[in-house]
This record gives sequence, structure tokens and C-alpha cells, in this order.
Amino acid sequence: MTPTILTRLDRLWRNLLPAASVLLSVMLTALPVGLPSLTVVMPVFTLMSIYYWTLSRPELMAAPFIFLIGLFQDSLSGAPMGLSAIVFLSGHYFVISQRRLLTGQSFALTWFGFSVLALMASTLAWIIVCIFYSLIVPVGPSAIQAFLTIVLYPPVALGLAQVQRLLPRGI
Amino acid sequence: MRKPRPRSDVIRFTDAIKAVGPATTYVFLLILSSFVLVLGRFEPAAVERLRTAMIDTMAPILDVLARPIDTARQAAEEIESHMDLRSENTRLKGEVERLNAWQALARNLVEENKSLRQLMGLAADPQTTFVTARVVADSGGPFVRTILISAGEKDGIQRGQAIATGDGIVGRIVGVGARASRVLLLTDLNSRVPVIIQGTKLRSILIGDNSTHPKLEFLASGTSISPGDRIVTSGDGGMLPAGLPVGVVMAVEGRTPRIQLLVDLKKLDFVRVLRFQMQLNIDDSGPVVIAPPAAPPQAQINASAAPATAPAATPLRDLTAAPRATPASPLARTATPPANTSEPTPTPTSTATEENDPDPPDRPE
Repeated sequence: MTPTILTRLDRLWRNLLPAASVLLSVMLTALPVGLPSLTVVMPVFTLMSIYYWTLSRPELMAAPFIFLIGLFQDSLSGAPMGLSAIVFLSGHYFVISQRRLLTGQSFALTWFGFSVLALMASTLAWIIVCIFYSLIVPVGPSAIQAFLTIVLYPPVALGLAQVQRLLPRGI
Repeated sequence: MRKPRPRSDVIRFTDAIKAVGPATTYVFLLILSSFVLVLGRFEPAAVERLRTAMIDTMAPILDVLARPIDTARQAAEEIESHMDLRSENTRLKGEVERLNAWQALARNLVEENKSLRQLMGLAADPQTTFVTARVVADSGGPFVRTILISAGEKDGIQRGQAIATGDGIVGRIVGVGARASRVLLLTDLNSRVPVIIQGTKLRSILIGDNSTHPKLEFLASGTSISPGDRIVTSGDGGMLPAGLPVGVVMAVEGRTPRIQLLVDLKKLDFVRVLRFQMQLNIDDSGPVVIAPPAAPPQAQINASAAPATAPAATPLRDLTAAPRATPASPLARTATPPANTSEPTPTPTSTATEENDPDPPDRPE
């Protein structure tokens, strides 16, 4: 049975949802929230959504897309262009390679996996920035950002799980 | 070397890789990213163009996303202000009284200043107009302190222009797109702003280091500054207008005092882009001449009286081009020092908020 155009269109936009949510998370990361109690850093929502979709639907998270998302994040944040692209691509590859360990596990283990990813990502970003500016950049803000990113992962994952229910079954 | 893996693992791993593209794709993309990174280090202009193109396409969406946050913040502030309406009212009444005295003094000084300048034949300071813009994004990252604002080339924004709020200077424009621009905040690692310690003529450079309190460096040896001293822009280099309030010296530890900025950088929602241009008429035959504007600056304290009469000597000052431009000079704000640092009784010496120090007309280049 060949699907009608309408069902194909429906499939298409549903399959675009993960990408859209990643795009939205880039913008969320850049929002001028300015919570006085928090410091100036925002959690990296982008890393959360990339991790979530790479685990649940890797076929909808292509590497070139991750690359573009990284560039987009850098253009918004004003960080050296290419920094997030390198960090996200490396993180994406790491998750793909560990997918066997992480899929179908309890949420706690998935969260732990994300914590490892977030720490590695922020360390990598810090090292690259230090080389880029040729000076030792303060570690504090990076550490706070990694902490916030890890702590806020569960609610974000919960939200993304709702989005996932809208997706057609995987290939 | 490598441990042989069980066959099933290998299959699963390669399946996953197949789903997202082969490892060579990663290698290629990582090399490309590194190339962009290195290019940005040594050829920033090219990368900046890519960046502004990306920002421009997204600016309208960001603007919409930032709106609810503004609203929420305003609501919170409103609730907060309702809480202590009475005490606020008393405080404000006192302040109005005090500021009225300041205003009277400022008017007198403006007049006096004008006539003295006329007597001396002194070149007028370059005029500044401004455009108001909304903050649509914040870097949010641990490595940079920048914001994006919703005004760009079509509003007459140019690289290097200063960004300020009513309280003081915030930073300067480092990237301009058609609809949005990037502002480097004073706290960023790359921020360097020439400043002057008010009332002393001591010059220094305000250097950001990503912390909330930038530091003062290159102070002449043997200079004495003390906590509470006010810092304003010096206007050196012609990039920023002189006399914009910057901050107050905090505790002086060692040789690098730190500055408490007057603007709360975490609570920025609307900012002003100061369209300031030092007019340098560079002539090959002679020294640099700082040309006066076509019309003398109007009394800026009551600038709101005549918004349409701003001189249109240069295209930059053509206010009709930008719908949101207002001719009121932001420097007028500096005539009234903030409540917490000023003396209750106005004295002529302490009102010298603008050490304008116009450069001598025949400054050698």
C-alpha cells in the first residue's frame, strides 16, 4: 500500500520535530533571562536535546545537522565560531558509540550517561577556548554551566518524551 | 591492541553509525569546524559575516521569544514596586526635591558653559543621538559576555558605537547585521575601554575579564584612587563619547582596582545605541581638525521640547531615517548623578560630570 501525499506530509513534519526542538533549544540557551540568583550562565539546552534524540532516534539526528546547530549556537552566543560545532559533534559521536550501553536502560543510568557527556563537553569547550585565547579562562562559569545542564536534564527529557510520542514509529 | 568485541556489539555499533553517517563524515565535519575556529582567530571579519548572516535570519524569532520574558520581568517588578509603594513614594519625593535643585544648577551651568565656550571659540563636542533597541539574546555561555540587540544596519548602527542605559555605559557594538547587532559587554575578556577617574583627569583602561567586576589597568604609578571614585569614559580614541558614566571604584586591592558597574548587566531589556561620531576632517596638508557640528548643541536638559529640530549635518544624524531615534542627548542624563553617590546639596565642583577635555584643535597625528 502506498501512502497518500497527506500521510507522507504528516510523517515528514513529525520527523522534523526533533530537529525543530534542537533548534528551539539553541534559542532557549541564548534567551536573555537574567535570573539574578543564577549567575550569568544558562544551561546548555542544546546538548540535552541532542543527547535525548541521539539516544532515542539517531536516524533523525544527522551529523551535518549537528554541525550546523553548533555553528548556529556559536553565532548566537558570540563564542568563537566552530567551538560548539566541535563540542557537539564529539559529543554526538560519543553518544552514538555508547548507545549500546545507554538505550533501554533506567532513567537514572541515562541521566548518568548525560552527566558524563556534559562534563566532557564543558571540559573540551574550556580547553579549546583556553587555546583559542591563549590564556587560562576561569573554570568557575564552565563548572556552573555543566552543573546546571546536568541538574535540569530530567525536566527537559520529560518534555522531549512528550514530543517523541508525536513521532511516527522508527525505521 | 584492540580487544576483539563480541560480534553482536559490532553489528549494533555499526548499525547506529550507519544511521547517522559514516565516521568519515565526522572527521570531515570536525576538520571543517576546526578550520572555522582557526579562521575566526586569524581572519575574524570573514567569520563575523557568517555569524551576522545567521543572526539576521533568526532575529525576528528571537525577538518574539524574548518578549514574554520582558513581560514577566516587568510584571515581577510591578508586583515588587506595589509592595513598598509608600516608602518608595517618600523616597521619590525627597529625590525629586533634590534633583530639582540639581536641574536648576545644571541649566545655569549649561548656559554658562555655552557662553564661555563661545567666548573662547571652543569647538563644540560632537553630538550624539541614539536608537533604542531590545535585548533579544544573551550569550548565556561561560566564555563570552555579549548580547544581541534588535537593531542593525538599517537603523544606522555601526561597529564601535557605544551601548548605554539610563544608568551608564553597557558595552559597544562589535558586529552589525541588517536587523540585529552584537554588543560586547564591558565585562567580556576582550573589552577595553579608555576611562577617566572623575574629577582627577587620571586616565586608565577598563579591562574585562569575564567576571562581574572589570578592572582598571595602566594607571600611572603613584596615583591614588579610593573606593567610591566615579569612573566615566574618557573619549580617548574617538570611539566612545566622553563623560558616559561607567561605574564606581570598589575596594582597592593591590595595583588593579575593580569597578562596580552602574548598569546591572543581568537586567538588560532595552538599551540605547549611541550614534556618536567624532568628525575628523583629515587633510593631507595640515594637522587633524576636529570640526564642530553644523549647529550648536541645543540645551540638552530640556531636549524633549523640540524633538524635530536636531541638526542633520551628516547622514548619521539624519534622524528621520530611523523611526526610533530620539535627539535627546544621553549625555543629558549625566547631569544628574545617581542618588546613591551624590551629595544632598549641589555644589558646582561636584557637578563636573563631564570632564570633556576637548582635544586641542591642532592635535598632531
